Amino acid sequence: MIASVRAATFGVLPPLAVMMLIAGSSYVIGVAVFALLASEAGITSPREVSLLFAVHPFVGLTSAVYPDADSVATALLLLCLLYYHREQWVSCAVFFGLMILTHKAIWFFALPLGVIAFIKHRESRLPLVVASVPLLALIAAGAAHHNDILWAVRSSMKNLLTSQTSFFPVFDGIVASLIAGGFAKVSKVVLVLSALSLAGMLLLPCYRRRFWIGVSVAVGLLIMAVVVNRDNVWAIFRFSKVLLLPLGYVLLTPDSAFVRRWGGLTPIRFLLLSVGAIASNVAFGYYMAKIYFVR
Amino acid sequence: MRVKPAVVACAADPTPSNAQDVMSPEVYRLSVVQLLPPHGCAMSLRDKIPSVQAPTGAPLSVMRLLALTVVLYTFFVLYMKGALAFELFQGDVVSYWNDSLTLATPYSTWCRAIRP
Repeated sequence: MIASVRAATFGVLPPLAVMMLIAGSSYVIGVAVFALLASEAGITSPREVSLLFAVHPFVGLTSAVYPDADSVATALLLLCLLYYHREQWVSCAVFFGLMILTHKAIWFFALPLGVIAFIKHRESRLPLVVASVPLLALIAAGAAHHNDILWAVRSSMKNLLTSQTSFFPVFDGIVASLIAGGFAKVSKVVLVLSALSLAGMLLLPCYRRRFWIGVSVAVGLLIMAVVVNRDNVWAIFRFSKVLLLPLGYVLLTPDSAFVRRWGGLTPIRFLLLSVGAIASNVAFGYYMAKIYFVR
Repeated sequence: MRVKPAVVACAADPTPSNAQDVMSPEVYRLSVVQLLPPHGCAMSLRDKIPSVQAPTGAPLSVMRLLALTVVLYTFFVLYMKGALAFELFQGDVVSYWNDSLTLATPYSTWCRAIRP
Protein backbone atom coordinates (compact mmCIF):
# COMPACT_ATOMS: atom_id res chain seq x y z
CA MET A 1 0.00 0.00 0.00
CA ILE A 2 2.83 2.37 0.89
CA ALA A 3 4.63 1.57 -2.35
CA SER A 4 1.40 2.15 -4.30
CA VAL A 5 0.87 5.59 -2.77
CA ARG A 6 4.51 6.44 -3.40
CA ALA A 7 4.12 5.46 -7.03
CA ALA A 8 0.80 7.28 -7.42
CA THR A 9 2.33 10.48 -6.08
CA PHE A 10 5.48 10.04 -8.24
CA GLY A 11 7.64 9.86 -5.13
CA VAL A 12 7.43 13.60 -4.50
CA LEU A 13 5.90 13.33 -1.05
CA PRO A 14 8.22 12.89 1.94
CA PRO A 15 7.89 9.58 3.83
CA LEU A 16 5.93 11.03 6.73
CA ALA A 17 3.41 12.67 4.38
CA VAL A 18 2.81 9.35 2.62
CA MET A 19 2.36 7.51 5.91
CA MET A 20 0.01 10.18 7.28
CA LEU A 21 -1.98 10.26 4.06
CA ILE A 22 -2.59 6.52 4.36
CA ALA A 23 -3.24 6.46 8.10
CA GLY A 24 -5.35 9.64 8.11
CA SER A 25 -7.51 8.52 5.18
CA SER A 26 -7.99 5.13 6.81
CA TYR A 27 -9.01 6.80 10.05
CA VAL A 28 -11.71 8.88 8.34
CA ILE A 29 -12.88 5.89 6.29
CA GLY A 30 -13.02 3.82 9.48
CA VAL A 31 -15.24 6.39 11.20
CA ALA A 32 -17.55 6.56 8.17
CA VAL A 33 -17.81 2.76 7.95
CA PHE A 34 -18.44 2.56 11.69
CA ALA A 35 -21.35 5.01 11.26
CA LEU A 36 -22.77 2.94 8.42
CA LEU A 37 -22.42 -0.29 10.36
CA ALA A 38 -23.92 1.24 13.51
CA SER A 39 -26.86 2.52 11.48
CA GLU A 40 -27.47 -0.81 9.77
CA ALA A 41 -27.16 -2.66 13.10
CA GLY A 42 -30.04 -0.53 14.41
CA ILE A 43 -28.09 1.62 16.87
CA THR A 44 -29.88 4.88 17.64
CA SER A 45 -27.76 7.99 17.06
CA PRO A 46 -25.25 6.02 14.97
CA ARG A 47 -23.26 9.06 13.97
CA GLU A 48 -22.89 10.25 17.56
CA VAL A 49 -21.63 6.78 18.51
CA SER A 50 -19.23 6.96 15.57
CA LEU A 51 -17.85 10.23 16.82
CA LEU A 52 -17.26 8.59 20.19
CA PHE A 53 -15.44 5.84 18.29
CA ALA A 54 -13.32 8.52 16.58
CA VAL A 55 -12.32 10.07 19.90
CA HIS A 56 -12.22 6.81 21.86
CA PRO A 57 -10.61 7.41 25.27
CA PHE A 58 -6.80 7.57 25.17
CA VAL A 59 -6.29 5.96 21.76
CA GLY A 60 -8.94 7.26 19.33
CA LEU A 61 -6.95 10.30 18.19
CA THR A 62 -3.42 9.47 19.37
CA SER A 63 -3.52 6.14 17.58
CA ALA A 64 -4.81 7.81 14.41
CA VAL A 65 -2.15 10.52 14.36
CA TYR A 66 0.77 8.14 14.88
CA PRO A 67 0.81 6.75 11.32
CA ASP A 68 1.37 3.05 11.88
CA ALA A 69 -0.87 0.22 10.69
CA ASP A 70 -3.58 0.52 13.36
CA SER A 71 -5.91 2.85 11.45
CA VAL A 72 -5.59 0.87 8.21
CA ALA A 73 -6.19 -2.44 9.99
CA THR A 74 -9.17 -1.06 11.92
CA ALA A 75 -10.76 0.37 8.77
CA LEU A 76 -10.35 -2.95 6.97
CA LEU A 77 -11.74 -4.84 9.96
CA LEU A 78 -14.81 -2.57 10.02
CA LEU A 79 -15.32 -2.99 6.27
CA CYS A 80 -15.12 -6.77 6.72
CA LEU A 81 -17.64 -6.60 9.58
CA LEU A 82 -19.94 -4.37 7.50
CA TYR A 83 -20.10 -6.86 4.63
CA TYR A 84 -20.38 -9.75 7.06
CA HIS A 85 -23.41 -8.01 8.57
CA ARG A 86 -24.85 -7.55 5.07
CA GLU A 87 -24.01 -11.18 4.25
CA GLN A 88 -22.21 -10.09 1.08
CA TRP A 89 -19.53 -12.71 1.19
CA VAL A 90 -17.31 -11.78 -1.73
CA SER A 91 -16.84 -8.23 -0.45
CA CYS A 92 -16.49 -9.55 3.08
CA ALA A 93 -13.78 -11.96 1.93
CA VAL A 94 -11.86 -9.26 0.04
CA PHE A 95 -11.57 -7.15 3.18
CA PHE A 96 -10.94 -10.26 5.27
CA GLY A 97 -7.95 -11.08 3.07
CA LEU A 98 -6.65 -7.50 3.19
CA MET A 99 -7.03 -7.12 6.93
CA ILE A 100 -5.14 -10.30 7.80
CA LEU A 101 -2.33 -9.16 5.50
CA THR A 102 -2.17 -5.76 7.16
CA HIS A 103 -1.77 -6.41 10.86
CA LYS A 104 -1.14 -9.52 12.90
CA ALA A 105 -3.29 -8.25 15.77
CA ILE A 106 -6.24 -8.58 13.40
CA TRP A 107 -5.70 -12.34 13.29
CA PHE A 108 -7.24 -12.48 16.76
CA PHE A 109 -10.49 -11.05 15.35
CA ALA A 110 -10.28 -12.92 12.07
CA LEU A 111 -10.18 -16.29 13.83
CA PRO A 112 -13.57 -16.10 15.62
CA LEU A 113 -15.13 -14.23 12.71
CA GLY A 114 -13.98 -16.88 10.24
CA VAL A 115 -15.09 -19.74 12.48
CA ILE A 116 -18.56 -18.24 13.01
CA ALA A 117 -18.92 -17.52 9.30
CA PHE A 118 -17.91 -21.09 8.46
CA ILE A 119 -20.43 -22.53 10.89
CA LYS A 120 -23.32 -20.16 10.28
CA HIS A 121 -23.01 -19.34 6.59
CA ARG A 122 -22.12 -22.11 4.19
CA GLU A 123 -21.87 -19.66 1.28
CA SER A 124 -19.09 -17.74 3.06
CA ARG A 125 -16.70 -20.70 3.14
CA LEU A 126 -15.22 -20.60 -0.35
CA PRO A 127 -14.72 -16.80 -0.48
CA LEU A 128 -13.04 -16.78 2.92
CA VAL A 129 -10.72 -19.65 2.01
CA VAL A 130 -9.76 -17.92 -1.24
CA ALA A 131 -9.21 -14.68 0.67
CA SER A 132 -6.68 -16.41 2.90
CA VAL A 133 -4.53 -17.46 -0.08
CA PRO A 134 -2.53 -14.18 -0.37
CA LEU A 135 -1.45 -14.41 3.26
CA LEU A 136 -0.56 -18.09 2.86
CA ALA A 137 1.38 -17.26 -0.31
CA LEU A 138 3.26 -14.50 1.52
CA ILE A 139 4.10 -16.89 4.34
CA ALA A 140 5.27 -19.52 1.83
CA ALA A 141 7.39 -16.99 -0.08
CA GLY A 142 8.87 -15.72 3.17
CA ALA A 143 9.62 -19.25 4.28
CA ALA A 144 11.63 -19.79 1.11
CA HIS A 145 13.36 -16.42 1.41
CA HIS A 146 14.26 -16.75 5.10
CA ASN A 147 14.69 -20.53 5.18
CA ASP A 148 12.34 -20.49 8.14
CA ILE A 149 8.79 -21.78 8.03
CA LEU A 150 7.88 -19.71 11.11
CA TRP A 151 9.54 -16.51 9.92
CA ALA A 152 6.26 -14.57 9.96
CA VAL A 153 5.56 -15.18 13.61
CA ARG A 154 9.04 -15.72 15.02
CA SER A 155 9.75 -12.09 15.93
CA SER A 156 6.27 -11.74 17.37
CA MET A 157 6.63 -14.96 19.33
CA LYS A 158 9.87 -13.68 20.78
CA ASN A 159 8.97 -10.04 21.35
CA LEU A 160 5.24 -9.91 21.81
CA LEU A 161 3.91 -13.29 22.91
CA THR A 162 6.57 -15.07 24.99
CA SER A 163 5.82 -14.86 28.67
CA GLN A 164 8.17 -12.68 30.70
CA THR A 165 7.02 -14.21 33.95
CA SER A 166 8.01 -17.84 33.62
CA PHE A 167 5.60 -19.03 36.31
CA PHE A 168 2.50 -17.77 34.52
CA PRO A 169 2.39 -18.62 30.82
CA VAL A 170 -0.98 -16.97 30.08
CA PHE A 171 -2.23 -13.43 30.75
CA ASP A 172 1.42 -12.44 30.92
CA GLY A 173 0.66 -8.96 29.61
CA ILE A 174 -1.48 -8.24 32.64
CA VAL A 175 0.45 -10.21 35.26
CA ALA A 176 3.92 -9.06 34.21
CA SER A 177 2.79 -5.43 34.02
CA LEU A 178 1.40 -5.63 37.54
CA ILE A 179 4.58 -7.28 38.83
CA ALA A 180 6.70 -4.61 37.16
CA GLY A 181 4.69 -1.98 39.04
CA GLY A 182 4.86 1.76 38.54
CA PHE A 183 2.05 4.21 37.91
CA ALA A 184 2.13 3.96 34.10
CA LYS A 185 2.06 0.16 33.97
CA VAL A 186 -0.61 -0.21 36.63
CA SER A 187 -2.75 2.44 34.89
CA LYS A 188 -2.27 0.55 31.64
CA VAL A 189 -3.42 -2.69 33.30
CA VAL A 190 -6.49 -0.97 34.78
CA LEU A 191 -7.50 0.30 31.33
CA VAL A 192 -6.83 -3.07 29.69
CA LEU A 193 -8.82 -4.87 32.38
CA SER A 194 -11.71 -2.45 31.93
CA ALA A 195 -11.73 -3.21 28.19
CA LEU A 196 -11.58 -6.94 28.84
CA SER A 197 -14.37 -6.75 31.42
CA LEU A 198 -16.48 -4.92 28.89
CA ALA A 199 -15.70 -7.57 26.27
CA GLY A 200 -16.68 -10.31 28.74
CA MET A 201 -19.90 -8.56 29.67
CA LEU A 202 -20.89 -7.97 26.05
CA LEU A 203 -20.27 -11.54 24.99
CA LEU A 204 -23.45 -13.06 26.39
CA PRO A 205 -25.95 -10.38 25.27
CA CYS A 206 -24.37 -10.36 21.80
CA TYR A 207 -24.59 -14.16 21.64
CA ARG A 208 -28.21 -14.17 22.81
CA ARG A 209 -29.14 -11.61 20.16
CA ARG A 210 -27.11 -13.40 17.49
CA PHE A 211 -24.98 -10.31 16.92
CA TRP A 212 -22.06 -12.31 15.60
CA ILE A 213 -19.78 -9.46 14.69
CA GLY A 214 -20.01 -8.31 18.31
CA VAL A 215 -19.21 -11.83 19.49
CA SER A 216 -16.17 -11.94 17.17
CA VAL A 217 -14.78 -8.65 18.44
CA ALA A 218 -15.26 -9.61 22.10
CA VAL A 219 -13.79 -13.09 21.67
CA GLY A 220 -10.86 -11.69 19.66
CA LEU A 221 -9.93 -9.29 22.46
CA LEU A 222 -10.19 -12.03 25.08
CA ILE A 223 -7.92 -14.37 23.09
CA MET A 224 -5.46 -11.52 22.65
CA ALA A 225 -5.41 -10.99 26.41
CA VAL A 226 -4.53 -14.64 27.00
CA VAL A 227 -1.45 -14.69 24.79
CA VAL A 228 0.19 -11.27 24.53
CA ASN A 229 3.02 -10.32 26.87
CA ARG A 230 3.79 -7.12 28.72
CA ASP A 231 5.34 -5.38 25.74
CA ASN A 232 2.21 -5.72 23.68
CA VAL A 233 -0.57 -5.59 26.24
CA TRP A 234 -1.51 -2.07 25.18
CA ALA A 235 -2.59 -3.47 21.80
CA ILE A 236 -5.62 -4.90 23.60
CA PHE A 237 -6.74 -1.43 24.57
CA ARG A 238 -5.85 0.08 21.18
CA PHE A 239 -8.08 -2.38 19.38
CA SER A 240 -10.78 -2.36 22.05
CA LYS A 241 -12.28 0.75 20.46
CA VAL A 242 -14.14 -1.55 18.07
CA LEU A 243 -16.03 -2.77 21.17
CA LEU A 244 -18.10 0.40 20.89
CA LEU A 245 -20.02 -1.38 18.16
CA PRO A 246 -21.35 -4.27 20.31
CA LEU A 247 -21.68 -1.88 23.24
CA GLY A 248 -23.82 0.44 21.15
CA TYR A 249 -25.80 -2.53 19.88
CA VAL A 250 -26.55 -3.79 23.39
CA LEU A 251 -27.26 -0.39 24.96
CA LEU A 252 -28.57 1.79 22.17
CA THR A 253 -30.92 -0.17 19.96
CA PRO A 254 -34.53 1.06 20.31
CA ASP A 255 -35.68 -2.00 22.25
CA SER A 256 -32.82 -1.96 24.76
CA ALA A 257 -33.60 -1.37 28.43
CA PHE A 258 -31.08 1.47 28.53
CA VAL A 259 -32.92 3.40 25.85
CA ARG A 260 -36.38 2.68 27.27
CA ARG A 261 -35.58 3.40 30.90
CA TRP A 262 -32.74 5.89 30.73
CA GLY A 263 -33.23 7.65 27.43
CA GLY A 264 -30.14 6.31 25.66
CA LEU A 265 -27.40 8.64 24.47
CA THR A 266 -28.85 12.02 25.44
CA PRO A 267 -27.08 15.18 24.23
CA ILE A 268 -25.62 15.92 27.66
CA ARG A 269 -24.25 12.38 27.98
CA PHE A 270 -22.82 12.57 24.48
CA LEU A 271 -21.18 15.90 25.26
CA LEU A 272 -19.68 14.70 28.53
CA LEU A 273 -18.37 11.48 26.97
CA SER A 274 -16.88 13.33 24.00
CA VAL A 275 -15.14 15.97 26.09
CA GLY A 276 -13.82 13.34 28.51
CA ALA A 277 -12.55 11.19 25.66
CA ILE A 278 -10.79 14.09 23.91
CA ALA A 279 -9.20 15.19 27.20
CA SER A 280 -7.88 11.65 27.77
CA ASN A 281 -6.37 11.70 24.26
CA VAL A 282 -4.66 15.01 25.01
CA ALA A 283 -3.21 13.53 28.20
CA PHE A 284 -2.11 10.30 26.52
CA GLY A 285 -0.56 12.25 23.64
CA TYR A 286 1.51 14.13 26.21
CA TYR A 287 2.56 10.82 27.78
CA MET A 288 3.60 9.42 24.39
CA ALA A 289 5.58 12.48 23.37
CA LYS A 290 7.19 13.50 26.64
CA ILE A 291 7.57 10.28 28.59
CA TYR A 292 7.27 7.05 26.63
CA PHE A 293 9.16 7.83 23.43
CA VAL A 294 11.95 9.81 25.14
CA ARG A 295 12.96 6.98 27.47
CA MET B 1 -30.25 -8.75 9.72
CA ARG B 2 -31.12 -7.27 6.35
CA VAL B 3 -33.39 -4.26 6.51
CA LYS B 4 -34.40 -3.59 2.93
CA PRO B 5 -37.67 -5.57 2.76
CA ALA B 6 -38.91 -4.18 6.04
CA VAL B 7 -38.13 -0.61 5.11
CA VAL B 8 -40.20 -0.97 1.98
CA ALA B 9 -43.11 -2.16 4.09
CA CYS B 10 -43.01 0.88 6.35
CA ALA B 11 -45.28 2.91 4.13
CA ALA B 12 -48.19 0.56 4.68
CA ASP B 13 -47.88 -0.23 8.35
CA PRO B 14 -50.51 0.88 10.85
CA THR B 15 -48.10 2.48 13.28
CA PRO B 16 -49.64 5.45 15.14
CA SER B 17 -49.66 8.45 12.91
CA ASN B 18 -47.66 10.59 15.30
CA ALA B 19 -44.83 8.07 15.67
CA GLN B 20 -42.67 9.98 13.26
CA ASP B 21 -43.31 13.18 15.18
CA VAL B 22 -42.03 11.87 18.49
CA MET B 23 -38.85 10.24 17.24
CA SER B 24 -36.21 10.93 14.67
CA PRO B 25 -36.75 9.40 11.22
CA GLU B 26 -33.91 7.00 11.81
CA VAL B 27 -35.19 5.77 15.17
CA TYR B 28 -38.67 5.50 13.68
CA ARG B 29 -37.45 3.53 10.67
CA LEU B 30 -35.31 1.19 12.73
CA SER B 31 -38.03 0.71 15.34
CA VAL B 32 -40.48 -0.32 12.67
CA VAL B 33 -37.90 -2.57 11.04
CA GLN B 34 -37.31 -4.42 14.29
CA LEU B 35 -40.98 -4.75 15.13
CA LEU B 36 -42.18 -5.80 11.72
CA PRO B 37 -43.31 -9.42 11.67
CA PRO B 38 -42.05 -11.37 8.66
CA HIS B 39 -45.44 -11.70 7.00
CA GLY B 40 -47.46 -8.71 8.08
CA CYS B 41 -47.60 -5.15 9.24
CA ALA B 42 -45.97 -3.59 12.23
CA MET B 43 -47.66 -3.65 15.60
CA SER B 44 -48.27 -0.46 17.45
CA LEU B 45 -44.98 1.09 18.46
CA ARG B 46 -46.48 2.34 21.70
CA ASP B 47 -47.66 -1.16 22.63
CA LYS B 48 -44.23 -2.61 22.10
CA ILE B 49 -41.86 0.11 23.25
CA PRO B 50 -43.98 2.71 25.03
CA SER B 51 -41.16 4.76 26.49
CA VAL B 52 -38.89 5.02 23.49
CA GLN B 53 -37.57 8.56 23.33
CA ALA B 54 -36.47 10.58 20.37
CA PRO B 55 -32.96 12.01 20.70
CA THR B 56 -33.30 15.70 21.30
CA GLY B 57 -31.22 18.18 19.36
CA ALA B 58 -30.21 17.99 15.71
CA PRO B 59 -28.61 14.67 14.78
CA LEU B 60 -25.21 14.73 13.17
CA SER B 61 -25.30 14.46 9.42
CA VAL B 62 -22.77 12.18 7.74
CA MET B 63 -20.95 15.09 6.15
CA ARG B 64 -20.82 16.93 9.44
CA LEU B 65 -19.49 13.79 11.13
CA LEU B 66 -16.73 13.41 8.56
CA ALA B 67 -15.88 17.12 8.68
CA LEU B 68 -15.70 16.97 12.46
CA THR B 69 -13.47 13.89 12.26
CA VAL B 70 -11.08 15.66 9.88
CA VAL B 71 -11.02 18.75 12.11
CA LEU B 72 -10.28 16.65 15.20
CA TYR B 73 -7.57 14.73 13.35
CA THR B 74 -5.96 17.95 12.11
CA PHE B 75 -6.15 19.49 15.58
CA PHE B 76 -4.42 16.46 17.00
CA VAL B 77 -1.70 16.43 14.36
CA LEU B 78 -0.99 20.07 15.22
CA TYR B 79 -1.04 19.25 18.92
CA MET B 80 1.35 16.29 18.62
CA LYS B 81 3.67 17.78 16.00
CA GLY B 82 3.49 21.43 16.99
CA ALA B 83 2.77 21.75 20.67
CA LEU B 84 4.49 18.54 21.81
CA ALA B 85 7.18 18.40 19.07
CA PHE B 86 6.54 14.66 18.78
CA GLU B 87 8.45 12.88 16.03
CA LEU B 88 5.80 10.86 14.19
CA PHE B 89 8.28 9.17 11.88
CA GLN B 90 9.81 6.71 14.32
CA GLY B 91 9.42 3.14 15.54
CA ASP B 92 7.17 0.87 13.51
CA VAL B 93 6.44 3.66 11.02
CA VAL B 94 10.09 3.70 9.91
CA SER B 95 10.06 -0.11 9.60
CA TYR B 96 6.99 -0.01 7.37
CA TRP B 97 8.54 2.67 5.18
CA ASN B 98 11.83 0.79 4.82
CA ASP B 99 9.99 -2.44 3.98
CA SER B 100 8.07 -0.61 1.25
CA LEU B 101 11.35 0.24 -0.48
CA THR B 102 12.47 -3.34 -0.97
CA LEU B 103 11.02 -6.64 -2.05
CA ALA B 104 11.97 -8.23 1.25
CA THR B 105 9.09 -9.87 3.05
CA PRO B 106 7.69 -7.74 5.86
CA TYR B 107 6.85 -8.84 9.41
CA SER B 108 10.24 -10.36 10.20
CA THR B 109 11.81 -6.96 10.76
CA TRP B 110 8.86 -5.44 12.57
CA CYS B 111 8.19 -5.26 16.27
CA ARG B 112 11.63 -3.87 17.10
CA ALA B 113 10.13 -0.71 18.47
CA ILE B 114 7.20 -1.49 20.68
CA ARG B 115 4.56 1.17 21.11
CA PRO B 116 3.15 2.16 24.49
